[in-house]
Amino acid sequence: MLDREVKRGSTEMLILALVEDRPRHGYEIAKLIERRSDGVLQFNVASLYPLLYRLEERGLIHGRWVEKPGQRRRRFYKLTAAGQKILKEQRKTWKDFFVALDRVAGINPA
Amino acid sequence: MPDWKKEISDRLDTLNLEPAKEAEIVEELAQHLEDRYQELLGEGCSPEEARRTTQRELSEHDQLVTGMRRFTWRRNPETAVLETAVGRNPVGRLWQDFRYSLRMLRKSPGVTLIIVLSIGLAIGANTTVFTWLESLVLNPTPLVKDNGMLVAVNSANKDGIGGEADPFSYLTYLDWRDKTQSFDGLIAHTIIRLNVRQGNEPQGEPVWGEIVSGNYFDVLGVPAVLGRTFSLDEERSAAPVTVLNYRLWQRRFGGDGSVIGRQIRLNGAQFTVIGVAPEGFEGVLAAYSHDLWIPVTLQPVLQGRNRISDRNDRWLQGTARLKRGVTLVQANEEMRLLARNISQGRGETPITGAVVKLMRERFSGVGFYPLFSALLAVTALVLLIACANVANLLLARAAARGKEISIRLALGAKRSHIIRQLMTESLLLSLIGGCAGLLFARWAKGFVIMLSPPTPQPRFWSLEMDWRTILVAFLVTVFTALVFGLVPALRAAKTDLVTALKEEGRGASSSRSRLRSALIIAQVALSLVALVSAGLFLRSMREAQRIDVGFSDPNHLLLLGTDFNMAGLKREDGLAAADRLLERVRALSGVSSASLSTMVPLGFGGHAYTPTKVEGYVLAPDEDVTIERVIVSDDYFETMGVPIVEGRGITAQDRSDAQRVAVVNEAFAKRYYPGQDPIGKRTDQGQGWATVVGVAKNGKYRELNEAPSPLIYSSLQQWYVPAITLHIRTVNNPKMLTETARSVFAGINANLPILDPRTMTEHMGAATFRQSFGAVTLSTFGVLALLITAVGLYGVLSYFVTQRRKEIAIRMAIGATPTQVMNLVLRQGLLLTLIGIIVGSGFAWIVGRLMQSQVLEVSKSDPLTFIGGVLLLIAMATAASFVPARRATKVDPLAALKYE
Repeated sequence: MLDREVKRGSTEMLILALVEDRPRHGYEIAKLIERRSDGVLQFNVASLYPLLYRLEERGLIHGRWVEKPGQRRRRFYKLTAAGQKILKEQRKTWKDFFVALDRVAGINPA
Repeated sequence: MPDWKKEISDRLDTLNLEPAKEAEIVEELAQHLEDRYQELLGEGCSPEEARRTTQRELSEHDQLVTGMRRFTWRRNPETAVLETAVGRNPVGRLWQDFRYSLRMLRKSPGVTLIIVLSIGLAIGANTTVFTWLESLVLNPTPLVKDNGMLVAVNSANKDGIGGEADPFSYLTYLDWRDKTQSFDGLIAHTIIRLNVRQGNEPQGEPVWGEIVSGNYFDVLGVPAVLGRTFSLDEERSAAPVTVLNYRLWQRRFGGDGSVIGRQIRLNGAQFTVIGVAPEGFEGVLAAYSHDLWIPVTLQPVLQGRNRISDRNDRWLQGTARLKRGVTLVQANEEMRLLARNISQGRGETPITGAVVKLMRERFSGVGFYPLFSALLAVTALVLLIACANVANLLLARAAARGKEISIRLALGAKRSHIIRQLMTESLLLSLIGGCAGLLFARWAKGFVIMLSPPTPQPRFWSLEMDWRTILVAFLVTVFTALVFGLVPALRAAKTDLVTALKEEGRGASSSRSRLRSALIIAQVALSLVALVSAGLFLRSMREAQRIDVGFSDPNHLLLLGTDFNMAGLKREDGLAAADRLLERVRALSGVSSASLSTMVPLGFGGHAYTPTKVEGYVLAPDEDVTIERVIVSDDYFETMGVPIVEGRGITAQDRSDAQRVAVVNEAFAKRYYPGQDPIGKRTDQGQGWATVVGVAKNGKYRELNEAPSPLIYSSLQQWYVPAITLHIRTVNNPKMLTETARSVFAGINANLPILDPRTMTEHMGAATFRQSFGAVTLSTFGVLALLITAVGLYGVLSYFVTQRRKEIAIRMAIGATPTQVMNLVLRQGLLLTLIGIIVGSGFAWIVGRLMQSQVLEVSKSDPLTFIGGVLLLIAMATAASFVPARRATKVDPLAALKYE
């Protein structure tokens, strides 16, 4: 598992990126992160929700309860305009960082 | 399953969060844990393992509490949003509403079924009757171009059958056709019985033909699908050509395209097939179908006697296409003057005029129009009752769902959304009902054929539900949805939150109960109208069976039609054959007597009217005496059981070489020789003077409710007519004699046909058709109305009981007996019913008046029918009230009061 500090720094961006195209609920977000990272990145209920609530408090995502027929109601999170802006900035920062790493140490994220 | 909520709450306890916020967090996290737990189970963990792993993750590093501590939530709890995932997309929203509605409908299948059934039956009944009205009355000739402009043209005679549909001669037709200005074409036509034979066939087949003027197909705008139709030249030159009906072409010629130019034999004469009429074209006489068409000038070839050149022989019907801009009144005026002037100029037995009528009024005597109008009105009543019922059930449901709706409103749902939701439910209900109705109509439309009597020449009806019928059904459906959906929806959305929540979901407002009571009253009133209409028809059907028809015991009379022309027999041979036929039939065992007659009373058609001179009778100005003529053999009055009130009947001695004789009926004697003895007086129906030798009792000739009309019987031997019906009075069941009679016919001439064998009882079915059809259909609709109303009343009273549970409990607590409680509910049901009956009586009386023309010999406010309807309604009300009333007595006072 990656160092906890690296993980914390990157997770904000991961969550924002996951709710960028459509609203998702917490469990779905956790599962997607795990699946797309082939299990390298893992969140559990205790680590995910404080993060989600913090993002929400900062106005980067917005959560609301949604009822669907035949299902329990769930809280769905979607990206706000402010979140969109931050996501864009973070993507650029990380890209620059990877380019720098590549130049220095020959690491290519792709 | 582990209690995740508790686990989470325990951990969050130290945070002292605002309770509502905490509840939301607990809910959200608990769901997550539950999902995780299920996931682990799915991966093969034991429940205990899964529980431990999940719990460990929750507690890991104390992250949750540390992470949460940093927040202070300032916002209030959020409102719930209904499915925002698709909320902004109208199609998605509709889909949402639709699925939600479906779920709600599934939740109470009983109510859904009742609603769908009431709408389905009501719409089905309406669609069925509309299909009948459309195909039988409004648009019986769909293939005729612009058929709304067609009118019936007939000669009018003051003394004819009320100037109804008197025919005219061919020469008169030619004059009219050439001189009239009101029409874009006038055609003449009449029905004829024919024997059709192909190639070397030993025996032909009897078919129905129509003799028509040469412009027939052109004026109707009906082109041939194969070959061509007639030309005026063919009429002028009397070319032996024929156009086949599509059915006949398919049946006899297998739809062979090479039929054009082929020779066929009609009544023994050679004809050339020149064309085939389009499928579904059966002619313009709404009640009849024709197998083939022949130019009018070929009549002498087919019937022996020449009717073409006799101006006094009136045998043709007229149909014309009204010119654009010419009104019926103008056409009538022109034709009246034209007919009279021509008649005077030609010196024929005078025609006083001509009448032009709407096609559907041509045979007003056997017309379906008033009957179907009545039916349509009653089915509309059933639809109204069903709508009221559905509105009632939906109101009850809306009331039951008051709390659900209030909560949704409290949680921030928009009123418009609630209304939309409820309207979607109503629309869905009525669409399902509408589909059920169309299916029902598809199944039920054939009943009109099933119920119709055996006619000698059945009409081939195409009872297709066309787009108009379906459109009407659809409109009725949508209208129903709007009417009965909107009221409950508006009311539900108006729910006063505080009151509704306080009242624990019973949301009882007195205005709503009033509306529901009003709906029940309306249903009862409308049901009474439907029941009384049905009752009047039932009574009149019974009365019809009791009317004195003027002849005895129809149950032992066998009728066998025949036509000597079709066997190629001319006058002398025909008369000889008639004698032999009677002689042999009378010799059969089980036959008490037999005779021949040109007219069988009380069926469709078969009547002939002739301009008549009455000796010693002074014509009033403009008076024209046209009297029905009936040609009979000896023993006719004995066979039929028609009493001779004076003189004698026609006997075997009244032969062609003897003195020409006539027997008149009482109506004739009364009309032309009032206060005198008619015996010895003379009449002339175009065959020379005949001496009156007897007076026969009046009878019913065309309809059961007709007034007596004059009629003259002549001797077959003195006035030969080849198309005639053998009447056999039998000792036993007349049906049993048909086969024996067939061998007698064959023994006389191999080509002598038996046409339309039937018993007199079957034959008379035609005369009572409207009454019996009306009685069967209307009582069906009456019962339907009653059932729907019973369901409605049951619903209202059940609701009444639920609503007043507390009151009933208190009453019982302070000592009311079960009987008293039951009476409380029964009283409520009967009160509504009685008010409904009072309101309905007025309407029922009006409808009774409107139906008078259809109802025989029964007073329009027939007390028996009326009382019967009222009693039926009260019985229904008691039955429907009984179950809720019993339920009221089962209220447990303790439980009911505690519940509050």
